[in-house]
Amino acid sequence: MAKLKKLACAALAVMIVLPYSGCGKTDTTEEDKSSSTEMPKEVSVFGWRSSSLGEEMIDYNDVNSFKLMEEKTGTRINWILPPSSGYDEKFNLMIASEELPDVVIAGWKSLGVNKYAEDNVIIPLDDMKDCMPNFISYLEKHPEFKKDIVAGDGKIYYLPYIREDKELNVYYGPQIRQDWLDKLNLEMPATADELYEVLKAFKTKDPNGNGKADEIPFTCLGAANACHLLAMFDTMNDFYVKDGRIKYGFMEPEFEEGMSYISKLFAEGLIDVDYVFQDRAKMDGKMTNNLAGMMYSYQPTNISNTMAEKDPGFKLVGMPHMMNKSGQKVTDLKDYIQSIIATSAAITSKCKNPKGVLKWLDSFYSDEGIEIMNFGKENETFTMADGVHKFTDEILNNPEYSVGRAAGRNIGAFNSYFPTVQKWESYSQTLSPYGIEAINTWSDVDTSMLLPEMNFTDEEKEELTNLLSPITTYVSERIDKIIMGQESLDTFESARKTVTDMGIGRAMEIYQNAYDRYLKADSSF
Amino acid sequence: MKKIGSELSGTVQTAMPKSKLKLLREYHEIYIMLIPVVLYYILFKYMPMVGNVIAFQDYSITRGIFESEFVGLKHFSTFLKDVYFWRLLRNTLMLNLWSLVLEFPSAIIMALLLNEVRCLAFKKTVQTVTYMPHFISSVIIAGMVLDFVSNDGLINSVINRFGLETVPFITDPKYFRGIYTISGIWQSVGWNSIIYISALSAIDAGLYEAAAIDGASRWRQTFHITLPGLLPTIAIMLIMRIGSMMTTGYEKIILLYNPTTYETADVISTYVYRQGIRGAQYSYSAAIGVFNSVINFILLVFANWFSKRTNGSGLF
Amino acid sequence: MLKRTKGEKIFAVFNTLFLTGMLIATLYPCLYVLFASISDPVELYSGSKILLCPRGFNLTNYAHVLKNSMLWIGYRNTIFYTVAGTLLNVSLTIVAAYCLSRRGLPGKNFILMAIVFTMYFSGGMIPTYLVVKNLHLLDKFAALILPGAINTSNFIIMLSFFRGLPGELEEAAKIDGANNYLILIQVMIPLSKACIAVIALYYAVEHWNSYMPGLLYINNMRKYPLQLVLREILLEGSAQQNGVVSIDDADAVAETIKYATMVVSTVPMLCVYPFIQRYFVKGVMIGAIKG
Repeated sequence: MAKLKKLACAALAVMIVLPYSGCGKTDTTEEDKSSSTEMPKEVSVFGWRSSSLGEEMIDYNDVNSFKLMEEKTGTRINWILPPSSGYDEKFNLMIASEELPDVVIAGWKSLGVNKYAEDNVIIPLDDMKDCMPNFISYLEKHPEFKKDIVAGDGKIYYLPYIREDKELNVYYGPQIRQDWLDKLNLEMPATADELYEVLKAFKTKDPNGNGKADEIPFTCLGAANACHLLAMFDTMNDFYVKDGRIKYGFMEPEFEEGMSYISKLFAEGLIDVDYVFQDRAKMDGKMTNNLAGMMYSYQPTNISNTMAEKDPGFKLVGMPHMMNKSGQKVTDLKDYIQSIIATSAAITSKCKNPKGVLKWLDSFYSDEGIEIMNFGKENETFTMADGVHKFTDEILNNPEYSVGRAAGRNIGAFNSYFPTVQKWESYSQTLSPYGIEAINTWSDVDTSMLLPEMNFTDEEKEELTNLLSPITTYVSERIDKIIMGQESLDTFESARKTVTDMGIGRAMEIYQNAYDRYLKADSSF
Repeated sequence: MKKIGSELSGTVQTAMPKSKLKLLREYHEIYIMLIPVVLYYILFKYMPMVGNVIAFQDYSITRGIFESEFVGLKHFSTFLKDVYFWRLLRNTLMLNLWSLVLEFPSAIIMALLLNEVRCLAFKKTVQTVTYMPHFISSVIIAGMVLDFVSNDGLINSVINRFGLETVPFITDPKYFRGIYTISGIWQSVGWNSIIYISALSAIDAGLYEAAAIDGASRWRQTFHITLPGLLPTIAIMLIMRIGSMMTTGYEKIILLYNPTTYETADVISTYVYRQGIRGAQYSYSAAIGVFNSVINFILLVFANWFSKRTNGSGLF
Repeated sequence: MLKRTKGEKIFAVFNTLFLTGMLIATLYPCLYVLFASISDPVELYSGSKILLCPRGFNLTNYAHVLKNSMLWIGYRNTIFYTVAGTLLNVSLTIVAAYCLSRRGLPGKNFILMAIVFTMYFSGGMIPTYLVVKNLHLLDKFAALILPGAINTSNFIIMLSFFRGLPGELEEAAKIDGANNYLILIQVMIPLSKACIAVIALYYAVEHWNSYMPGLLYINNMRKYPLQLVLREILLEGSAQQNGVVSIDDADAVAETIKYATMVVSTVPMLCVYPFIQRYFVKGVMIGAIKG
């Protein structure tokens, strides 16, 4: 009898332990997971609360675009949206505590998928090509995006939010008071020398007409902003690329030239004296209070709308980028080439139906899906006219909400960062004419100097952090002191030597390696 | 102290040391009362303390604490070898030293001055208003400070009025410590003085009456009654303050500094903060945290010892 | 009241002047915030940097903040967290301080050191989160009350106060036959009102301003504390979210809303202080020893 009892106990023990035997981080290959290619009834998605979502909206399910997509696909989204101010912490906690939903929307490109892929937090999508026909055919029509999606190991781990038209990336640039130019009979400045003359005129000829020389010709947010002017000298305060070689601004002779120009501007009072501790609100305040002449900032829709009533003569327009010595318009604004800098969606290893979920995500890249996400519901939020989608008054003239808010409540692609393709046709309708004009002006620029977002390995990232911390501290100190005239340009020589000793060579080498890898990157499809 | 203790222990005290069992019985109620306290500290303080081990690892949130690679003192060594290490350490300690010498006494002086006020309404009003800036976020206070000391701000216009040259408060490293400390006093002197005001109110009024009858002036009363009465509180607050000499809130410094003042303004926490923007460096910042804590703790123990040597009272 | 000497009178004059100066200096930031909160966002930046009155009277800032339904939920939650939390905090702190101020307690120094040690070496965000999670406290009200139940520096303040109380009172109670519980409740606590008021204030303010614990442990929007809600209001339309730059800031929240949220956040706390003040009146100890 005792023996039988023992046997029974053993059997019981085995039965209890057995269900847990397959558990662990590396568990992804169970039968029931890969068989289904049906769209799931429910999907859990971790993302963040866009600020343009209505206050009473708990999540995106009430946004028109998403409601339509739910009808179309039959899939209900269970959103997990941490407060936007704490997204990073919540993301890290989620990973550390292994409470993974099906899909995680994050800035995977900049975050770097390496360790998440290696440690099996997210899964590669390459083997499930047949589940994403729309996305693949989209990539075939737009092969330029392929490079930005591929991870270091050549696989694809996420579906990105793609800003298809390059205008969508050009939301930031130089802008100037056109009315001041008109008043003083000046042409739009196009070169460094012309800019100097214009700024000088702003300072001395009282364009705001109040009898006081209180104009601030050029205002900016700290040295980083002022250094946008370096583009005219074919350099910038960062890593960039020329003819396939990586360069670091501070070490180049053009940098010294550019700094000499900027410090001259400052010495003559043409740059805002308070620029070191400026913030956005103050800077905009200077613009709206008729004090500032030129600045680098977001497209002027907001300001132009505010000033439309207060001062109809106020004209803040986007300036064409200024030209370098060879007459080319150049810029140092890296975001111009980052169509995929925004977020993307990855499927986690805890997802029970990855093929189905992928199929569902893929539907947002179909022609119909793209239309729904960008324009909403026909005859409710948009109408078609000659093949062009036009928003209805529900969005453009809503009595309760501003255009931005109305768009946020109805249009999925507007700030929601849910993986799909955003179209200029949609976004441009939410901008003021000044904004659109500015963006069009800014789009005409040479971007060959700009470095794309590259994939660094984790070791490279760590090494870079250790090298660049002291270097960027040192460089930013020098830059501000030189601009303000506290240090003379003679110090450049020894400053460059110090930066060399700090290891800039190695940092540049790392960047070069990553860049070379980027150029060769290609996906398996 | 020991003598008094044995006198006060009551009539049951014998000359012989008590047996352990007897002690336990005498204090059993105390131990029972301590159970929830001890439980709390174990659960919420000591259990998570295991997490400090990530300072000695290459912690990866995807692998977790138990599977991340152990690297010993690698991060500490990286930090100590950083080009700016000594500057950061110096600035951290200097800012705290200024704060110790200026901000710490200011709260005490504030409390003492308030104590001398006869008119109750005025006293209460000043007390209530001076503690308000503590609730205003540092962002706004810093913005105001910068507005005041900027080249065209209030202070410089007054300076100019006297015919002197504009002082570049914001872009000259030598003014940073002063500005930081003064803005700290502005924001917290009222709040910090609350503990001393409370301690002052606990001093027996009868002592003052007796002294007044004996003909002592207000000054003598202050020296012989008030200050000694405050001493235990001051000692404890001072010990704790010294035990945070390596701690600086980076938020406030970031609001007040800029690259031209890094020379005196850049501290350990701000430097690490700038690094952090590049990527979640858990292990590195944990290592620095441990480094700061070790130094702070050593300072605390030292301050405690010193306090006991000089005035007999201390933390432990 | 005895007559004041000449020196004392001069001192009183300077003292009053000085304190009035402090009053004005510390009143200014509060007025600034108040005026800015009812100013027009554009006009706020016109004119000189010193604000002596609201510019462009405008109540839309408050309308924007107050009509947010989440705000009232945040208030309700935070009031609950603050009251419940402070009660727990103060009770535990008093108990802890009382116990560890008993002079002959065996192991006292060891326990004390162990407690102070935790002020310096804490585990950090992720380990603490895992502990809270494993105790099944996530998304429960208790998550905002238990992890911070005792603040060690408040404990030290209370401890040093208890130590400073003369031992005769305790002896007298013991002679009367009181046990430790009664001594605490009937003797120590009534004498410590000033100190208890201080630490209660510290704890209450900590709860009121608390942001991180709510962010980490609470996922249900209905349980968000006030600060979390306010920060969301402030970030609305913010062009830079989570490092991913939004291309549209057309609806960026007006700067002046920041001030309105400040006022909304701090006014309730400010109203509480006058009630605490009465505990700081001199002479609490009169008669205690003689009686």
